[in-house]
Amino acid sequence: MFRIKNNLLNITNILRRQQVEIQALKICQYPRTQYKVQVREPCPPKPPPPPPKPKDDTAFWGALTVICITGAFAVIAKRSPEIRDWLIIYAPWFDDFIAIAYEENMTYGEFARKCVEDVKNFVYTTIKDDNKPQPCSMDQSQKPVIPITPQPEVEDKKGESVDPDKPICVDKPEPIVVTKTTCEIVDRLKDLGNEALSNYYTASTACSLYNQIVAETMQNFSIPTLKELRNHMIERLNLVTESIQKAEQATADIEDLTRYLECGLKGTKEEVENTMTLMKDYLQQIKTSCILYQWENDKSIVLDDQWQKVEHLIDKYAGENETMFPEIKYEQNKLQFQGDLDLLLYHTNRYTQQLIVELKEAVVGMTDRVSRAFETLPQGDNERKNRESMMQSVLKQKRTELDNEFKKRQNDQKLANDKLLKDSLKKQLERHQEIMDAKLKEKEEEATSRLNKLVSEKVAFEKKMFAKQLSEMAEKLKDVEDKLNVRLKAESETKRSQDLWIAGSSLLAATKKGEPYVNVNKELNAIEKAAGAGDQLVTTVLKAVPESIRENGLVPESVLKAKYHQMEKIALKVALIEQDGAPLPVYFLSWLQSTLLFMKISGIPQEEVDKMPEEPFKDLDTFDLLQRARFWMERGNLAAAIRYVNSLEGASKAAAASWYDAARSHLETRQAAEAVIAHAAAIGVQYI
Amino acid sequence: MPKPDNRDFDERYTACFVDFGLKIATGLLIGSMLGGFFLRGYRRWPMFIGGGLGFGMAYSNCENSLNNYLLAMDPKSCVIKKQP
Repeated sequence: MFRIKNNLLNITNILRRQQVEIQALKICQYPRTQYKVQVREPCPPKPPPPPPKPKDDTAFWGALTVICITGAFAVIAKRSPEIRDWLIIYAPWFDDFIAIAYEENMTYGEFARKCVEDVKNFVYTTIKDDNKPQPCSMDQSQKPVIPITPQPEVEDKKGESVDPDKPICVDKPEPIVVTKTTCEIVDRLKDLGNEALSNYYTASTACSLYNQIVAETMQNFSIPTLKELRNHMIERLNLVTESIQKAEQATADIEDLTRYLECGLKGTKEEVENTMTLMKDYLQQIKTSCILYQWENDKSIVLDDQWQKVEHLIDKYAGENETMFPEIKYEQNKLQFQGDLDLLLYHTNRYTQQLIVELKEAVVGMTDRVSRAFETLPQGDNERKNRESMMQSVLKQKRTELDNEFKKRQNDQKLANDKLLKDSLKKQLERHQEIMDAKLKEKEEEATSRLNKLVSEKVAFEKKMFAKQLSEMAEKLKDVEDKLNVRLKAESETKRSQDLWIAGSSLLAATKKGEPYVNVNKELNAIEKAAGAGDQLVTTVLKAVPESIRENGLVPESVLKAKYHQMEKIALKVALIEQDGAPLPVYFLSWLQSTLLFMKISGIPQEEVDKMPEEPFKDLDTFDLLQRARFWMERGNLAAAIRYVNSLEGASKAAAASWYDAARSHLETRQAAEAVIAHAAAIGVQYI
Repeated sequence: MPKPDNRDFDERYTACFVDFGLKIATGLLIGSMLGGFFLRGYRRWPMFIGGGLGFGMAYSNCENSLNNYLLAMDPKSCVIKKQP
């Protein structure tokens, strides 16, 4: 170890020559030994563990960078269609991503739902079995429908409908098993029996009705009804043949039924006997109805014959007449005849004569037959007397009947005639009545119209008179009203002029007050109110009052004067400064100038006092302008002062700006007030 | 937003003088205080730094206020020409 003293290290000491003392000392810490000692150096301390690797964030930041770049690219692609198209061709997945992100085709919710459904479908198709029934879809074909085969139709009804009319097989041998019961037989019997009876009944009624029709036609004879009879006859014949056929068929069926009874039947003996009696009953009834029918039928046939004869004759007669006289038409009811009436009468007479002859012959023949019949009868006296009396009684009866018939017909005809007469009279009466009513109505209308005319004339006249009076009154009233209006107007205008004058002078007084800012809103409102609605001058004048007066208030004259001196000082101090400003040293120079330059106190050139020059003050600089302004201010001529101040330039103008605005507003307001006063005076003078 | 400066030109002019004096004095004061705090013994140069700072601030304030007033007085209105 060497210890070197401090002063040795000092540079001055090293450079200086001087005696140096060196003291050295060697110290051995360990005692010296003879043996060679292996001195092992102490183990070096363990190296400190390496510091933990700093957290590596590159993954995170790298991922974030990639995401940002992708997002930026997506945004750019969204804005630019060309990039979008390129993407669609080369990277459609990115285009889809953009579409999803910007909700182009569907909202996020819908997209989420679509994804979920896709996943579900995928799961279904791959994991689940194929055998399970698939959910119904419209595409699948219908499962084959097993057709229900219709049950074989019930062919045979229970035995009842088996037609017992079929001949129980003639070919088969007789002993057959009869499975019918009595009830069934009875029912069938009843049906058949009723059918037969009804058919016979129909036939007989048809015949009887026909007979009736014929009789009626003969009673009320006319040619058309005769022709109709033919139709009736044909009808009757058809119906009769039909019914008879059916009835005979039914009878035959009933007789077939007897075979059952003979063959043997299911049932007790009583029932069988009942059935047999019933059957016999029916057969009896059928016979009686058949007989009835026969009777009617015979009558009908006879009547047929008769009326056909009549028809034949009539046709002949009518035909001859029609050929002879073509105007006659027998179908019509009225005779339209222009020809020779005598010939017709003669012809008719001939026919009647012939028919009378034939009738006589027929009567004679009939009497003959009757007398022959009489002769066949027993000839004893009693019988003859009885016969005579019977015949007389019958004859009388017939005569009375005929008489009654005749009377009845006569009465009927009379009644019919009366009725016809009454009807026609009534019709005529009605027609007369109608005509009368129409005429009456017409007359009534005429009378009413005349009356209305008279009335309206009178009314119009009265109205005219009244209207004339009314118009006269109205004129008078109008005159009075006009005069009143004029007077009213005069009074209101005088009042208005007074109000205006007062308001104007109050405003003027306000300009002469003492506060720094005078609120003149009240005065201005008073002027507005006093002017009323339509005074254009006042409204224009009020518009001329600047807004700053209303907001901030008016600066009165005295204050303006005081402020002017302040403003002047500052304006002089910044005389050298330009309008846009200057660096500060220029301000300092300008201030220096103002302190060193004296202002002429006394006045301005005489010419200017006499005649104020017009606007351009080009030759005057700031100091001159301000001097002149001050002169006029002291004289009280605010307008002139303002004009001079307006011509300032540069920063002085800016410095004077606020004073200038205030002074100008003041001046405007004062002028407005004076105008209002003058206007009020003019109005007042008008109406004195 | 800081309050807009609504002073009149006169006010700004007089405030300028006041401002100068005030800021220089304060600058000197603060400078000397800081110098005394951080340095051993009495040194004068921090005081001058402070005074200079104060002067500079006052200078820039004054200039800006006066010039701003002047510029605000007559703003050259920006006329945007209608693009065809």
